Amino acid sequence: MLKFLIGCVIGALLTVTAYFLFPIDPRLQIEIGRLLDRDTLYLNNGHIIEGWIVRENEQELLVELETGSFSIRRSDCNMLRKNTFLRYIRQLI
Amino acid sequence: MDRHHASPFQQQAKRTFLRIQVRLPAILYFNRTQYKQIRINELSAGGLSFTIAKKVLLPELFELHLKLKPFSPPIGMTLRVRSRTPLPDGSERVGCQYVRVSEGNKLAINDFIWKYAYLSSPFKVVYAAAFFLCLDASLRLFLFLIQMYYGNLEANELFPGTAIGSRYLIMLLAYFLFSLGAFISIDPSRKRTYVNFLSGIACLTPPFLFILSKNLMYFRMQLWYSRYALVKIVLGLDMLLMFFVGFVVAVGFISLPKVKNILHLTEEHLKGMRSRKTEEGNKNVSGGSGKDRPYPLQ
Repeated sequence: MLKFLIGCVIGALLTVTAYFLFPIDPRLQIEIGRLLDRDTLYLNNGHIIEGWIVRENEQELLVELETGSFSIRRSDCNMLRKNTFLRYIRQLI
Repeated sequence: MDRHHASPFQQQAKRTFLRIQVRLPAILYFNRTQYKQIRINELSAGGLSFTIAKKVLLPELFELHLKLKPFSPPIGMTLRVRSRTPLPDGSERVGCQYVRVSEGNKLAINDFIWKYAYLSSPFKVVYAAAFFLCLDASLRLFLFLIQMYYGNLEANELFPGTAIGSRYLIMLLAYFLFSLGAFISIDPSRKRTYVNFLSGIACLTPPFLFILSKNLMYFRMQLWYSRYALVKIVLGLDMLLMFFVGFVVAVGFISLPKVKNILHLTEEHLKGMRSRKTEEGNKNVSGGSGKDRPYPLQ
């Protein structure tokens, strides 16, 4: 047990040291952020679109996808779910 | 003190072999034909005992087929009756000694007694439950840190912030510490005591209530309807963990008296062994020949 606890403490210290010595690649941070930030649009015709809502007003939404961006009328959307994965994480923990 | 009026713990201190209380099915054979089905009440590496009606005739030497586990093949042996003690309900307690047992069967009996006395199964399941809870708590804490870092994504910007209250973090830390407490108290490298077992089970209870409430919350939030397989896998694993820990806690609390008895019994047995060893040492020092040495524990 003592060995296990010492191992845990050393592992935690190494992790903290590595965090400060080798900073995480900003691109990776942004990728994770974008994944957590992804929104889901449930359209009236049954289709589901996963992308990023970059601008919205009362009439329409500007949605960004991996391949480009497009506008859609708000009335064509049945439901919007913002930050899908982040919400899942919050609900799961 | 009369042998039959002494407690099982006092009797155990005098015995060479550790005797355990069991309820194992067995069949008596006489002249190679099945004679009677019985239930073994006590088992040791040197013999066993069972209860039988007074009117049943029993030869001095007989064969017995004993099943140590429900689906294991029966163990065959020849026994000699050593004592017959009448019981208040009109039946008899028959104490027998092994006469012919194969080496393999002897090992199987020893192994069974060792596992029973060492309480390997109850301690191992509590240890496993505590370990899985520690993993679950670590994962939840890690996800908490991630959501805290990316917590303010509603504004589509990246900057750290707290999305879930710090009270929840305290709850998660308590969950982790209780799981770790159970893991430490039930550690197999430490001496197995009743207090360790009790504290292990007690430490498992709050984490169990936590994951039970979380699973109920998942149902209420309809997370099971998620389109993502990963979310469903996580929910499934969490539910499995909840059932496993619940089973361990329930069985642990139910088996507390049994664990206490077994630990007391083994302690008395070890005490008896130590005192016999000391006596034997004293005899050897005072010029004993060593011929009257007691039969060694197998």
